[in-house]
Amino acid sequence: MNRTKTAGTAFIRHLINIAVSIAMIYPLLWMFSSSFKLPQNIFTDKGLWSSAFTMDNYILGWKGLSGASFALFFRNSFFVSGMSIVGNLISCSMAAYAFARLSFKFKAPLFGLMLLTMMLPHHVTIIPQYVIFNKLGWVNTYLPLIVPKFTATEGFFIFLMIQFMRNIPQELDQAATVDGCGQVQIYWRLILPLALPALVTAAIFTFIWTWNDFFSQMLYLSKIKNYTVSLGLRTFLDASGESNWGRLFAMSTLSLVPVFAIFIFFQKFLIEGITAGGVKG
Amino acid sequence: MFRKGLTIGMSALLAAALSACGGDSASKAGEKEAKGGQEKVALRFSWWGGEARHKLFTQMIEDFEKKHPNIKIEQEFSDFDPYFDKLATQVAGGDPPDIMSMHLTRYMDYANRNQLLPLDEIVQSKAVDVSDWNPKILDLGKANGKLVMLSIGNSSKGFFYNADLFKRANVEPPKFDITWDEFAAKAAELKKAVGKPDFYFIDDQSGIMDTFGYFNRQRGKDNYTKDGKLGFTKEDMIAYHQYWDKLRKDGLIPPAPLSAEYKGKQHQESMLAKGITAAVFAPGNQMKIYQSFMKDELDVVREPGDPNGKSGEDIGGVFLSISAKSKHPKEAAEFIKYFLNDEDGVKMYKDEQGVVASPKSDALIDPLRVPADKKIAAYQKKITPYINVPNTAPAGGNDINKQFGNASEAIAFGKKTIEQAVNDFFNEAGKILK
Amino acid sequence: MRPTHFFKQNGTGYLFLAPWIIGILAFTLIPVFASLYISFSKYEMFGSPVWIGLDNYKEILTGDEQFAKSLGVTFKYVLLGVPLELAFALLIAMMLHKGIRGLRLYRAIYYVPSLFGGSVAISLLWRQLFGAQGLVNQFLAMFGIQGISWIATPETALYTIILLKVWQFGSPMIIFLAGLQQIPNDLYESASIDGAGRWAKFAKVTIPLLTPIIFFNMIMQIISAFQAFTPAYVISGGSGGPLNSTLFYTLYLYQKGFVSFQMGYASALAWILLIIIAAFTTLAFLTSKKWVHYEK
Repeated sequence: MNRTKTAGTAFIRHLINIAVSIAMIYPLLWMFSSSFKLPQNIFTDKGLWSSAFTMDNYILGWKGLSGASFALFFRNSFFVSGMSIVGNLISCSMAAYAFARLSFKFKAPLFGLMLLTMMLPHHVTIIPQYVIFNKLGWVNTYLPLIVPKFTATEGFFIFLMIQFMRNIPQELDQAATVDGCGQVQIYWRLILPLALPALVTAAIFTFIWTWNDFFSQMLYLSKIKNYTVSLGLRTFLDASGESNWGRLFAMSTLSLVPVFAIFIFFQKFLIEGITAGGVKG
Repeated sequence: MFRKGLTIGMSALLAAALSACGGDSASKAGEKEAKGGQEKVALRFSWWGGEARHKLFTQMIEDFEKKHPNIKIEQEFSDFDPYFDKLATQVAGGDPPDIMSMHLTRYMDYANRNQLLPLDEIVQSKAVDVSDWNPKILDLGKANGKLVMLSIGNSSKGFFYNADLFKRANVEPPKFDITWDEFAAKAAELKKAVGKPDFYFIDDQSGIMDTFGYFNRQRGKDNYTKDGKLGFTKEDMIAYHQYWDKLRKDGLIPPAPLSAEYKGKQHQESMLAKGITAAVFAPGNQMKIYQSFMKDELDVVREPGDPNGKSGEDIGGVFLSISAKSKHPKEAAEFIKYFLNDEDGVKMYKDEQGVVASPKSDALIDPLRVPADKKIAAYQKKITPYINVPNTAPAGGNDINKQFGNASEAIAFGKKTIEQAVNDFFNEAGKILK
Repeated sequence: MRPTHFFKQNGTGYLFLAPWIIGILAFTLIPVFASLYISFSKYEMFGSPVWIGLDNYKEILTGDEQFAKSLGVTFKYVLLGVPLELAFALLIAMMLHKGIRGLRLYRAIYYVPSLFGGSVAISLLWRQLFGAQGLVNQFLAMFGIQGISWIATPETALYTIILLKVWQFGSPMIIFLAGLQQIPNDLYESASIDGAGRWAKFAKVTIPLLTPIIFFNMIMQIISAFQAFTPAYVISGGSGGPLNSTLFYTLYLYQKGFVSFQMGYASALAWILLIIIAAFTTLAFLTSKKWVHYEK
């Protein structure tokens, strides 16, 4: 009796999940099928199927422009995203450790300041920021995109890590202190491994957000050889002329591959990381 | 006390940061090298568009650099809207490109704040030769009496219609000089012949300030006066809306939700390309783009006019201007000259962003034109005698455009009567233009 | 207090905080204060800002209809979108955490919408799906319902954007999942020994231990939803139409700043929004003492 009941609920649960899945993934399927369509069919076909399919969007799209192919754009995007992950993980975890586990003067107002800086719409700080990076001579380099990441400018991740670090029992530090560990060691050997889910989450988000970011990359990168994937994609758009949707969808589909791969790769960590760490609360 | 201190402190900071910038942009762009006594100059050239245009400009720049070994051109580009976001940031941040592509709807923002280099002397000395241009086209590039940009391609708007659809429906196509009344009658005739309730003649133009400009100029007025006030009366605007409202009620233009759904969609997705409508008002150079997404043949005539009135035509285009902060205005002018006077440059660029102003250049391009280009070049030549140079929009012009669109939507959705919407528009415009 | 003493007491904290402090000083504070100063000025992008005191604020708060309109749109978006998205994210996270065959596949699929971000493909597709001839109406037609153009009707357009937000629930879901992973299994085991059923475990173990994460997601969603820009921008093509029904606050701010070049006015709008968000956040922090549980 009990068994059939659980089997029943599992079945219903699967049904719900499958229904939600289809709604979730339809846009991806649409983009994927559009990427194989002829330009004139993309907006006239009612559904996913078309009368003719082609590989041209991929072959011609990959060539990019001016001898700079998407291979280069992918490399550049990986560089920017990779550096951003490193920067965010180091600097945000340090700041979070200070806010979550240490006591010092002006902690509360500084925490408030951190939150406050996230509340100002960025449109009004774009120009003064540009002035700063221009004065530093960083325009047309990757520095404006990367250096701030090493200074924990993304409060989202600090706050995220704080919440996870605060959930780690205080007795652990006390025990470690008795064992003669300094704060640096506690941070490195104890807190970071225990906050692994937060670090992994931060890495995933940093990668995706940087990978998809358009505005700041457009603002600071002008040379084609520095172009990232998201800049390369936008060159298929031309509101004043002819946009090349087929190629846009083809390269957009490819650009989702690394994002998806990173997600699959890290989510493994997310599940197995804690047990592998061997420390339990 | 605190405020005063803050004011002084921030003023100093901002003065350093915002207003006095531009000094170091040159050192960056300038990568000076003594090479055989000649200074190597790097110029930044910014434009809007996509990969196809990039390919063309790369070729042109290669040729230009071969002819001017001391100049190196760096391209900066993006799609139209992001282009102007980036340009505004660069100019405000003291880091403007040397040569900027400009548009009639945007240039006053820059010209009014002295960001564009006056080009009068360059033109007078024939450093760039524009002596064979129609003077009206030259006048388009003026702001506050000074020439600040030069056209590299022009297009007037036209009334494009689906010629094959007319043929199939057995309806006589519109004639070249069509009146507003004839236009409405033609719309009704075609709709009846096609016989489908969800087919419409043309997209709703009642919120498009550009088309309203035609209407106003035909009545001897304009969208703006010379000193930047509204150049039309409430009665003009009411008459304009009554015309379109009647078409809407007769089912000749789409109902409000359909118009809203298609607003801002690109050519591929437009009602014209999908066969929901039979016609469109658009700049001449876009005919080729619509055509490439349609099996039916398009044809073009003038936008409707007033048989007893004046001509309403204006002319749009893409312009080049030089930053007032550029360290190398001479070399920048040299690059503009390449676009306008160099035979190879002219032949490569062709009609990329509209028909060129110079008849001499036009003669060079003509043998290279494909049939679709020929059609639109012929239209442009035919229309040029009719063109006006409208008064330029004042600062806040973009806001006015938006309010004008709001008024139209409010009427179309039945939220306001025509009189209410027009009154509200005049109130808002008064606030913006005060 | 002598400086050496100060550092002995607080040195470690500031050591860990050093990168953040450098960032604040180098990249954040100057732009933030510049925008504050500009909000009291007439600043038309090029040239110097001219101090005009409270004029921008006065105009916004007394005579700007679009300010009121856009604030209303944004409030609706926050108050409907955030709870819906969070509830959905938590529900699915719990379901996935329970362990279900194909867990990883589902989780990956649910995360797909969040990967798209503000991509052009989504804006195109969303307008198609909710258009008059769109897939949604084709679906409704199977039940004999004649649908309207959801995206182009002023009364419904905003809800399609709220739906877009709920559809992208993957990010808070991942954070919930990470939080659920952090709950030690022993707590569930000891609860079982005490004879707790599924609901009791959920109410006594899962929810209390997840409150810091719920709190985090709530604060972040509020902050970001108030500043929502991309969905409205890509879906209405930057216009905020039809009839200003999707004129989000930051979209209006962007139009003022980057289209009309009234950066002073736009900055004042930004600071008013900051005050509103700060008020909401403070409120959330004050109530959090009652319901958020941290490990002692």
